[in-house]
Amino acid sequence: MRKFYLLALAALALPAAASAQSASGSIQARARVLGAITVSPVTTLDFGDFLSAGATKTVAPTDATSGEFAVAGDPGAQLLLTFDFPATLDNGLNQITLGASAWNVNVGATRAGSASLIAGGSDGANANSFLSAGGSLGVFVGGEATAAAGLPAGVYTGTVGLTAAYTGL
Amino acid sequence: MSRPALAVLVSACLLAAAGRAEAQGRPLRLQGLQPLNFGDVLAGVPLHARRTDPARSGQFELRGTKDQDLMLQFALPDAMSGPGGASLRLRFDAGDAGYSATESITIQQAVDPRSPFTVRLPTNGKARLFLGGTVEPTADQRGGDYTATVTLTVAYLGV
Amino acid sequence: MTRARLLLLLALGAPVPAMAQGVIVAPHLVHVDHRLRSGQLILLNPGTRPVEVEVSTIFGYPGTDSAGRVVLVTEPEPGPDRPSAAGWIQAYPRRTTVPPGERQVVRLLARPPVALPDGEYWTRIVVAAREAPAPPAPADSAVEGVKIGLTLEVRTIIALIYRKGSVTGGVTASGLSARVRGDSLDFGVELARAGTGAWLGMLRAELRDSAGTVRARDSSQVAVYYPMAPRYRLPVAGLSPGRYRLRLVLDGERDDVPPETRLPHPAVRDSVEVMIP
Repeated sequence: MRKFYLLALAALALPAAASAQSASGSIQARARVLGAITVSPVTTLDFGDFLSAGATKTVAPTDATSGEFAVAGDPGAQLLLTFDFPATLDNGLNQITLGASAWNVNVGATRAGSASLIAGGSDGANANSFLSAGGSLGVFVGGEATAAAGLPAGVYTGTVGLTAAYTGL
Repeated sequence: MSRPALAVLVSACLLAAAGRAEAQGRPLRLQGLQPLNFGDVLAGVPLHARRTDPARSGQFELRGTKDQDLMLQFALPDAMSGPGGASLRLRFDAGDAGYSATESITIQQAVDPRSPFTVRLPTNGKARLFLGGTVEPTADQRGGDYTATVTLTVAYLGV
Repeated sequence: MTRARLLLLLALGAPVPAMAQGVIVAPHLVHVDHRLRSGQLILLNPGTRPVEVEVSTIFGYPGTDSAGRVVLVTEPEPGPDRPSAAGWIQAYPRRTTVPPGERQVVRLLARPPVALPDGEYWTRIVVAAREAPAPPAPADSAVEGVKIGLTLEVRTIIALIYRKGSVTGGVTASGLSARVRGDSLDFGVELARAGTGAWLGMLRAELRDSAGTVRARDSSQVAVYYPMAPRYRLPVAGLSPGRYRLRLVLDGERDDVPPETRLPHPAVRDSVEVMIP
């Protein structure tokens, strides 16, 4: 009985459980990465200086003055690229004529290293291409412009359009 | 000693022990309430979830003895795991955590989640912690769901 | 030619500084469940100028032309037999201007016909973006009235799939054929849906020699809505003459399609013997 008393008193002297003095908890961090696509114009097509009336200027896709679009999305994704090319740049009744079947499009990482996608294309031309392993594609546009004799000063407008559609979805 | 007297003695000792435990403080309780939810993230576009964002911020509920000083420490991952073993970079900055003695997301004391920090529990023994962060997807980040675990540990100081 | 005219013509084609006038569109595939009847797009303007955006719908699906090239077939006025959602998916807002560095969420709300049968319905979402016009220069501005008149417009077309009730998946492959042309193996296959839902998957091709060693491989994302006959190429330059086997596997393992939206089905396999001269 005395041993029992001693044991009981000893047990009561034990400190309270250590777990009551600390605690931990967890939460999750969550994110969902979405597939995305971006089509961005980078530079416009620059036909440069017309030194004489009636002159025709041609810009190749690999020229520094070619138009450039940047496409970004899922690596390796297949796209259908469709182009809207204007026939003219207009200022009221005055026009600068753009070559109807003289649009050329290259694709690649750089202008210099780009390869032909569309040659001699016209409005509505389209072709398939693939985004690189890094998910990007450069699109380079060249064309032909003719300034008619007696062209008056003014603002000449036109729109070049690029439509990129995923064909794997 | 008779058996009844023994029973009284043991009961008195147990009550004394309970009182002693109470004097040492309520057990600390820490519970995760809400994940740190970045939601939809675009490849190549970093996203910062603010600790003050009710929908995005991670939240913990803290319960303990009133007016006690606590030390808290986060275990923060530097990346989230995704499909096929893909990894999404995760970053925490100095102001990405907040402590609220009023349990209000709009009233927080900013703390640096990257280092241990001390706080004092209010008079009702209740508080809340909020956590934000930044994900940094690469331009070719693989699509899909990414997760990671954030752990918070709290301990009474001075005991 | 006067100096003013020279300046004008120079200004017409002046290169725009490097910038991103486009918008990031995400996701590139929107799934809408009939129980919720809504989805969303995220538009992000990563550029330094505001971008005007217009969102529209058109019924369309990938198909192939006579050369086996994958094209986007669009039907502005689909017939009653077409499972088109284009007429009853509305974008809100339909037109908006996204400030530089900002996001815009576009809600896609569905108002399907009453008693829509169970199944899958499709539309393409067209996101057109152009730079918001700059405010006109003040009359007393020191800059002469020469303005660049060439605008660039970009359009992004993504897919939206609407599901009601039970939908089944799968794909069939037939008519696998291959022929060496120059330094490439040109091969084609006829694909068709096996279920009621569009099949979104991967086509994986391997060219193995007689010892079973893989000598060339490639893979491509494929979406089969209606029967199509795509053609592909594998490089075979430098391969020794002899018998090879082209193996094709079609499976649904795609990272860009959320797992919870994939329609389960077993992989489809086919193969054909190829002689390399």
